[in-house]
Amino acid sequence: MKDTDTLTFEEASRTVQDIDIRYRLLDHPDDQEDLAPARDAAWDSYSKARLNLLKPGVITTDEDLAKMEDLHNQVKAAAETQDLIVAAIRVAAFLARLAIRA
Amino acid sequence: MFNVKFRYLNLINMMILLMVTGCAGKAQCLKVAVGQFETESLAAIQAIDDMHKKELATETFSSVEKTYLFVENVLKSSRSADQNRIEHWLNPYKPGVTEKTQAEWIAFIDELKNQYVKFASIYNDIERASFTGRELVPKGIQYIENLIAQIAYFAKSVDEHPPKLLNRRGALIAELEKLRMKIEEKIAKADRNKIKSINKLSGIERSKAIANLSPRLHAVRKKWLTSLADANERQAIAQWQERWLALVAEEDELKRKTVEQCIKAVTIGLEIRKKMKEYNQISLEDISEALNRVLVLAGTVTGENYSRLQAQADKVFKDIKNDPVWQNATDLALREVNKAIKAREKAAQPESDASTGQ
Repeated sequence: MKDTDTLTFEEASRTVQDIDIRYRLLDHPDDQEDLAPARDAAWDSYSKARLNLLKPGVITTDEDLAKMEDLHNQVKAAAETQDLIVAAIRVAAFLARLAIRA
Repeated sequence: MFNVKFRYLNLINMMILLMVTGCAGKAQCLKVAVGQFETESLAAIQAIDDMHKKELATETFSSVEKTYLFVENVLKSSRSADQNRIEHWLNPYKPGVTEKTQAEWIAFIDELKNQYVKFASIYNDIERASFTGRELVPKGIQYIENLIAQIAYFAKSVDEHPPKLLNRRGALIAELEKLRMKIEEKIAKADRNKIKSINKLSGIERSKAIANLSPRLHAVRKKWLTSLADANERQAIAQWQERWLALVAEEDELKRKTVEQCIKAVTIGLEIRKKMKEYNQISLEDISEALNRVLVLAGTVTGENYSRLQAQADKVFKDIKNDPVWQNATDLALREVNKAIKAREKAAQPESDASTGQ
């Protein structure tokens, strides 16, 4: 069974097609101008329907984004700690080499 | 003795440095792979955005055609010129999507892109935190799972609801209808001439002519339709068919490209997720091999014909569906679908009540 979004999309697609052909077959600009609001509304519904088809697929929340930011900060802090450790080891290694030579 | 202690200290320092730099190789591979996932995911989102823009795009007019259209509209219209009308005379075929709907679409695309950029940014400093931050790597799995499920969902949605270049379809169909109407006018004129010649007859001859004409009118009209189309009109119809087939092929290509890019991002994401899960057990060789696979995967999905691509997409969807780890993400997606449907039904309820006067 088709869901509501699919049915809405298919209906919007049909409506745009029908009204657009009718609009283009009107030779007079005034007649086209009279039909333009209905045509515009059909296009608007079509664009919304495409968006509504995709939107339910988005499952990442604002809370997830905040947690990602937090995890990024943890990695950053770990990087700073590691920088310090590496620097300390290098200093220690340098001092040890000096002591060995002496 | 003192010197020996320092030698040991130096050795320990070297071992720690080796461990740290060993981890750095793994972390570097992970960062490159995550960066590749970000690139392909952003390309997939861009492909969806481009696809929708093309759906709304009008046919292209040369500057000569645009000027001709404007002059015709100005001369034919019986209404006075104002800013809106001039815009209408200039662009009569532009689809009128409201600013609000356009803004919703842009916000949707921007928000999606932000999610993938944010995920990749988690691992920006992972090389420098290769040793101290190694336990943090698997913590990103839950986020990449959702992000992969999203792109897979979009691929499925585009596959099931392929893009249609409706504006250009409308232009072509209207063109064919106008051509047919022109030929129909010729038939009507021929009809009138025939009736005139029948009216000139009298008595039995006239009755015979009318009897002969009426039952076979439909068939005769059809025959005229064919016979009255001149060489130019026939050529125009043949050219129209070519343009129609080219348009349908363009739509198929647009769908193929969009789905292909989504599947590429999903496939790479799945590979990275697998390695993130085993990150602390695997060696540098394992992860660099995985990185290689990621880079190869990015190339192999490209250029597939659609049936092969669809088979690949089906396999990815099946893997996601069957893996219990994914159950949460897919369930969540389904729950969101149901929630959205219910919310829309609820919103539509008062309107229908109002319209029925309840």
